Amino acid sequence: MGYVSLASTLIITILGMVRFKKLTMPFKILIVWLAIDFLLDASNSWIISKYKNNARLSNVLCIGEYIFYVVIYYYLFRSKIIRRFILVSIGLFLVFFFINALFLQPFTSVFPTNAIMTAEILYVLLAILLFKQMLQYPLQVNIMKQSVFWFNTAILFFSTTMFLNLSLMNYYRKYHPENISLIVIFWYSIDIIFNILLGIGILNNKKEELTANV
Amino acid sequence: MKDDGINLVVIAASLLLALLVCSVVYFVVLYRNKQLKNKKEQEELEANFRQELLKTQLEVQEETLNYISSEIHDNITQILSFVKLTLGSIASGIEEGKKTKIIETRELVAQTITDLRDLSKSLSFEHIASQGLIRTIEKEVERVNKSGLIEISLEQEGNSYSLGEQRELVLFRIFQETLNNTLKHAGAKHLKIMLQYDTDLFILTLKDDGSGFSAETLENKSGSGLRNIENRASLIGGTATIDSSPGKGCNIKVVLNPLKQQLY
Repeated sequence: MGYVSLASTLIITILGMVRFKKLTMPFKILIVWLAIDFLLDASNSWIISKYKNNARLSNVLCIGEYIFYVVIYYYLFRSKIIRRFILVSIGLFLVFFFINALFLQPFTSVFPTNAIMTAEILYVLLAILLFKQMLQYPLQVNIMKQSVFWFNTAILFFSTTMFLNLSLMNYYRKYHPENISLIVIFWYSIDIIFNILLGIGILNNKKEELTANV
Repeated sequence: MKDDGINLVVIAASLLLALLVCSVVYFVVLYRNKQLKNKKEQEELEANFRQELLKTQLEVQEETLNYISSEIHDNITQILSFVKLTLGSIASGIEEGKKTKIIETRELVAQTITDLRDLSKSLSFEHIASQGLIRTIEKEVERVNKSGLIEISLEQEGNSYSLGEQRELVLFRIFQETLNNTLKHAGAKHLKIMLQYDTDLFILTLKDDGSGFSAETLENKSGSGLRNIENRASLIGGTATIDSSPGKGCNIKVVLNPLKQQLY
């Protein structure tokens, strides 16, 4: 299942690279992040064998993902206030992330749930605000053909289910460690659906859309 | 205890996913409604803009026509009257052969003055407003019939009533546009004009027996005289239908609800 998830990331990354010139700036940034994400995910096994856990990798993924995704949102929003909030949030999040990584959840040994949960809350907030913006400035284009809709749905889906993933993971680890593989499958399924949603967004994205929605 | 916990988590997970799907579906429905509303508003704005543009064009056109009308009336016909008087005074003291020619010329000038005065009246907004639609059309029909270019018949059904100065002016301009098209392009011998006055309906029908044209010609001639007729009719809250086919003449019908208030 892990390989399927990784393959789905690779497929949409290749798809994005093929269409790279036709993509708008937010989607170009997304493709860059997906490529990095793929390389980091692919090195997961090697990291675990070397350090006995993947806490370091999780920390890098968490901070990288946050910076890339909020920059994508920065390009998608029209409101100057929200854009400023995004820029400020990067600084604040970096400070919080390093405090957490150094003092609360040491980056060498602990999975950074504090930083991940904070980031996910912010993603949900940004996704809701972007949906609100889309309602304020609707385009005369079928919503199913709007890349921003698919991207935002993907983020909302992934971020909201992340809370569930983590709580299920904790629960299973504590009470049913023998069935932990079930929740891993669930996690990967979420990941694959997330990639499919992003893939639809990448396929639908084109520069003409930029003038209308961004 | 453990099973209760996992059931709770599964239920919570299912509820969360269902809520998420419902939220996205709700958003899509809201978005589509907003799209429809925006499209409608945009169409209304465009229609209003077109109406305003057409109204302005008509106002400018009326001003120009009024100016030409007053120039013909106050300047050209005055000069021609002076020419006529001068010719009259010359004719009294010269030999018979030349005198006949001068008298003929004087009559031609007199006819030109009369024609120009009629033309001036047909262009003047004030004149149309004071005479009313039927009387103005009658005068125009007389003038054209006298020219022998075409034979026009005018019929009226029902008791006439005023449609308002602006609407009557626009209807008269539609009549003029049609007459102009018939004379220039149709090669028609007859033009039939029908004015129908019902309680809540007014119909102006203009039918000629000219060469006619295909539906494609009408579609391709955006901005032409025919398109102007439709636009003008819509400006006064009416509808114009143009029915024609090659070799079968042209039938233009303007239908108007006299009770319906229109801004213009």
